[in-house]
Amino acid sequence: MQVNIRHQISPYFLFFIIVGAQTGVGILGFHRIIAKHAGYDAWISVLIAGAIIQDIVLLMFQMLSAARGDIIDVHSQIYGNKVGSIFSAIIMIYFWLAAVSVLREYIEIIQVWMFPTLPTWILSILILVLSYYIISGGFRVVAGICFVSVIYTILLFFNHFYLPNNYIHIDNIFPILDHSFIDLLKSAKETSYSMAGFEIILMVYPFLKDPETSKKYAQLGVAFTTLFYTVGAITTFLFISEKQIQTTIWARININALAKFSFVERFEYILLSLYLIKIVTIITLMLWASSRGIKLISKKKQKIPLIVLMVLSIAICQILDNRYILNSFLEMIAKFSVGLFYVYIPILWLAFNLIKKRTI
Amino acid sequence: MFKKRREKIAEEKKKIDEHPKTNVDATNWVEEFSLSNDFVNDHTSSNLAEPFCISYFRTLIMGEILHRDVVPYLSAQLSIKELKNTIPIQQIEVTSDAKVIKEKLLQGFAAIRLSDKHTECLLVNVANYKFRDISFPMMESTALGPQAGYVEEIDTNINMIRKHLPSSDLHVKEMKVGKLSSTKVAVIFMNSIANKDNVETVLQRIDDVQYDHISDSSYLASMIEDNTNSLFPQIIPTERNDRTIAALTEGKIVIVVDGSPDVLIAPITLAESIVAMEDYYVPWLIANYLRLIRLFGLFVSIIISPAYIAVLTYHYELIPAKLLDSLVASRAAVPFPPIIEVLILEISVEFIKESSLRLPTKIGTTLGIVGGIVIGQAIVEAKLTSSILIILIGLSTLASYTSAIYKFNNSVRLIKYPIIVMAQFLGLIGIVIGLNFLLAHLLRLTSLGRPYIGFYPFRKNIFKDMWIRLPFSMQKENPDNLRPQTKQKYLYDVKNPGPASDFDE
Repeated sequence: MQVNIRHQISPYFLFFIIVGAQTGVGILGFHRIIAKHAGYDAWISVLIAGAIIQDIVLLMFQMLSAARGDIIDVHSQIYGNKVGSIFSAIIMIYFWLAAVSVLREYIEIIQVWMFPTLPTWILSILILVLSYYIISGGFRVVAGICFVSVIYTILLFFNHFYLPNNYIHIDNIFPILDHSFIDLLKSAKETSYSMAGFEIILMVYPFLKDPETSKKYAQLGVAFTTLFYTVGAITTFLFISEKQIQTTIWARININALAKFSFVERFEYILLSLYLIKIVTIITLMLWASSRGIKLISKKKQKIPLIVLMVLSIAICQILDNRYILNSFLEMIAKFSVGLFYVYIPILWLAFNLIKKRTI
Repeated sequence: MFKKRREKIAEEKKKIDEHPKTNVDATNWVEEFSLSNDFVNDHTSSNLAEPFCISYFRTLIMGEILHRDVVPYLSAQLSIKELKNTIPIQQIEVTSDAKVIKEKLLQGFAAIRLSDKHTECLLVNVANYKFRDISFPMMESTALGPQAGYVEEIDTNINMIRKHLPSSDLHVKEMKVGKLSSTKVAVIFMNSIANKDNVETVLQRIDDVQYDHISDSSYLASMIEDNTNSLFPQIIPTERNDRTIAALTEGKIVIVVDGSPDVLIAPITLAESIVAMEDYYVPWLIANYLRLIRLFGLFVSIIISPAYIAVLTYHYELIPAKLLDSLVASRAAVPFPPIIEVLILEISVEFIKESSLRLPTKIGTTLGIVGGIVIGQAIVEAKLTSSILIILIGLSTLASYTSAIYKFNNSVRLIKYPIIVMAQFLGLIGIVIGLNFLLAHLLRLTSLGRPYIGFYPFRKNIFKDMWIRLPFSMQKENPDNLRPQTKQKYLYDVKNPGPASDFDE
């Protein structure tokens, strides 16, 4: 399905969209998860994951340009309209659950670090209303929020180089490559939740003015995120040793709590509140994709699925009320994303190409 | 029920369309106008059979011109055609169309007929063009640069623009708006630079305006804006000629409205609200410094009182111990929570501003002293607010007036309040949510369909002039966001015209 040229965006915006979608709450605490298997060598796993994602992005672009549309068109061309809708709906549900997980995770961080007694629903309603306001402005506004949020991401990138001498231990990350390759791959798999977000291409594709040039920017975006996470992992391991990191949920916040200025004592408060724009970016992107997908499948106005999804999101946020449930929810989403994008998409690509060849 | 009501409204509308409040088809305009006492209908000779009969609105004409250039020629026995060639006034025409006659009479023309019975009229322009002289721009004053502001008369304003741009490329499209006032509106643009779509949009929107009267250009601005519910002006008024000229040469469109000293400029971006014309009269480094100050002022004025509330209500651990000492000491005796404190001060500042704006200057100054110094001092001594807050509110009030556009200053003053409320509820998170709403709103806004926020979508050459002011030699292109037809500016390409030193040899 082609989109009106007035709603399309310039190629370089894909960089901002990809970076905006990929860097979320993961930045603050992915270190613990990836260090489970590969220990302090886990930063190499991030590089491996980055390389895999680059390939998957290429596959997606190849598939979408052949289908001349989004994932819904791909599905309907392979499976036919009815079965295709079911498969598309599964992906839309993934987008929605990803948005919910990010929202709940951020609210949890706020509850732990800033407002211990704050009810979940207040923040979830406020953030979702904000997201609704942005999404109702159309895709141009969603992309605009990504643009602003990436400016903040770049500031966060430089924040990694805040390394007070007396706290860092260079020997934490030596010797390099002390873990087996299998361990590295296992850790690479664990990054999937943090590095997820590139799959937004599946819905954004028809909005790109020049898909061929956009591909370059998408790869640049993935490369930047990979660099971001790699640098993040290395600098964090410099501060916190392999054993210690297993007991630290949000390593990055702990490190930032060290920073002190003559006029600000708890720097991490400001950091965490400004973090909201990143959260809003991911939520708007994911909910936009999800509601647009449902709109295309069900031929309803986008407003209706969006509001329904938002109300359901608030309900789910209320249900996920402690760390254990939340953590298992996050792990479920992570598995979901591995299954969808590291297994399903390559298979789909293969199937799609075979079918296309036969019809031609 | 609703159907009936709708029908009734439609009927009424039809009535208005068919019978405008001034009756056109009545050929006997003399009788109609004679109901007003300032309408003069006289015979120039004592014999009623002899010519001429002259009619005009005494209040609309310039008596001097009438007596010097028209009346002396009326004594001779001439036909209307001959009279037309004799009277030394250029705007003159012969017609018997009652509609035209009435229209012209209401504009300050005099109608001359051979006698009461004739319908053929000679219309002579003796209108009174006297308005106030061109004076200083009051709201947008600068220390350097031209000191001429617009006046309430459309021709004078267009004259000022034309004088500075003597080019055939400058097109003026005149139209009339307002059912009763039929206010003259002129849309001005550079034909080879301005984007055709933009011009079309403006003309179309002005054409669509239906209202009884247009008192000021702000009426028109709010009627043709993209989003009339927004706090931010998407079409900015200016009273400075240099700003108008600069806008025209970049490819913007200028709207002049009769009776308003403010000329409208569209389409604009957020950046233009912090641009003062003085930026172009000082070296570019100083201009950038001033712009940074203004941007920072904008930020401070929005953020400072919410931050005070957030920190003192929720995040006192954010403040280092030494700084907290002085804060707590000044607040120790204050019985209110921070939000009440802030609201008391913010609202009293608004009181002072409003009251001194409505009163004559002399009283206004006195009021400012009483309000600012006496109340400010007393409120601290009475321990109603802390002295640190007085400093902060004072700063934010000053900072909110740094922008060059008065209309924009008002928006800045108002958007602070929702953020204050959010800060009270959720501390720093609340402030950030408020700011994000603001950002989302700005991203959604458009001016004539062009993005309002200015840095998104990213265009390199906007940054060369609007956000940062580079030297003239580097401003090679017209801003891309306007989609100008001509991209390049005429440019003198030598960067340093001074003599070369031995170092360069």
